[in-house]
Amino acid sequence: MSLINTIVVMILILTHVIYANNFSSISDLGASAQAISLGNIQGASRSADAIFSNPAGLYKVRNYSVSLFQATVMNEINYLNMSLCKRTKYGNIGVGYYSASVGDIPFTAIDPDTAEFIVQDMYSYKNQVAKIAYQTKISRRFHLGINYTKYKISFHDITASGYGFDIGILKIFRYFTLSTFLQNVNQGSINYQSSSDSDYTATEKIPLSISSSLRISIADFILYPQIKLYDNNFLPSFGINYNPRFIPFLKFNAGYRQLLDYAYQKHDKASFGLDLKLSSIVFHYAYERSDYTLADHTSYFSFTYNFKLNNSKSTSLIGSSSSALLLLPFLYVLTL
Amino acid sequence: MIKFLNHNFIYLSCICFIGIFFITYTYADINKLTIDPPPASATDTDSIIDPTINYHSYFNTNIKLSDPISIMYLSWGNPQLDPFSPLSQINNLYEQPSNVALALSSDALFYPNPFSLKTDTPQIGFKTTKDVDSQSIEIQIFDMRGLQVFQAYFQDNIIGNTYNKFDFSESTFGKSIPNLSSGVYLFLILSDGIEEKILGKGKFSIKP
Repeated sequence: MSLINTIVVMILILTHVIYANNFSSISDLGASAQAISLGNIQGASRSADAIFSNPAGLYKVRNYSVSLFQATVMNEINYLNMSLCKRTKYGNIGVGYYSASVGDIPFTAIDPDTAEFIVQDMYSYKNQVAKIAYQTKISRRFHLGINYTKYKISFHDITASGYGFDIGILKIFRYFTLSTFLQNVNQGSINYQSSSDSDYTATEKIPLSISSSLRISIADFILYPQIKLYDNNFLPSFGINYNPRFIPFLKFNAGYRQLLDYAYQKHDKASFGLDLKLSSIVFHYAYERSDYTLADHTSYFSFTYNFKLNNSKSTSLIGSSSSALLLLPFLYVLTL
Repeated sequence: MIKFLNHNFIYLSCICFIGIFFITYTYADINKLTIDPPPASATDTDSIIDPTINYHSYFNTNIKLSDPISIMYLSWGNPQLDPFSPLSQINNLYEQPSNVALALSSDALFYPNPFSLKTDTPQIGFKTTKDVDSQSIEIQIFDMRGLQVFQAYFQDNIIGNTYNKFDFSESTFGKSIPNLSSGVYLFLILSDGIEEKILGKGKFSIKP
């Protein structure tokens, strides 16, 4: 009971600030196809992509876990998510990278002869989010995860950067599991500047996001109700996972969620998908309708791979050759 | 002698006058020319020219300049070329509006791009193949997740074959532009008819 009280107090303390101009994070799309098919429940994942949903969920990683997610939205916007997690004797360490890129955006000018708008050049847009995660157990049934997040945006002559911190907790009760994820607890900002105009500076606030979900197992079903508080909007979600006993390698997912668009207007989304488990590799598929008429069917694919390297008996953070697998992306995130 | 000449001059003058009148009348009859009475005011002339039609929109650029053209005299003191008269159609000078397919004859572009909703005055510019009534062209804007963030109709008439520029503001769409986060947005330009048709698409990015 004290845990729930603590969560309520934290929510009340942290949500009193209202910002007019907010940054919209690309990772709100979903960390994996599985997450999207379950209505973007943020406490469902137990593999490396949990870095983006709730790092406390990394407690299930026994050795190494890799997640890859790719999607193209509206035939134009390419999303890529790569996550890697390793168990060490100090706890689980994870690195995650999320990017959204768009090409061929017209840079326009006015034709001096006709006064018509013309395309002078093309530029691309890239939005990157990188996270370093650490997960440890407070007790056998209580896990804590924290993230350091780095944001970097570049398009035309504009560059922007910012950082944030996330906290995730996961408490396993007898009949259900409670997950709470507080994203951007520092309520930082993204600072924009222009390489061609030294006078231009702008700021967008990164709003605090708090999501609480339950994981309730009933027979072959797992139910995931969730409530998310984002920029003073309560956004409910619900996911259901069905794992028939006669085909244990296949799981069916369905989800509903409310989400905010880039204008902070509410939308309702329904999705479904499936997970196919082949040994230690799990393939995920999700389907969702889009408002965009030219590509109104969106499919998402991802996979997770939980593996063990030959020399990974050593659980030290530095020293084994396998640790380079984690250290290289770790250094990349720090230099982003 | 002088009296005889005066009579003959008057006689010949009458004959010439009757002849000119007859020839003029006959010519007018053959070519079906009609002479309108002079307008009581300038507004009568305006009634012959439909102000809602942009006659330049329907000009057929494929016509050979060596072909003869016909000009119809439509009103007193203000001859006009009627693009929809049968004679004009014979020369294929103009297309009937109903025969012209509505399309964008230039890409729809935002200027500037990228822009800030706070510090810039962005405009959208495009050219259509024909005149379009107000509230017949729709714009839909989508964020990077494929969610529709804005939908509205252009409130003004759109002039065909002329580059139209519209402010990206409430005055153009009749509703306020939402406070959009920075990012890339995709937009569609659609015609609102029996069957909604996508005329064009594009991208723009917003900086804070």
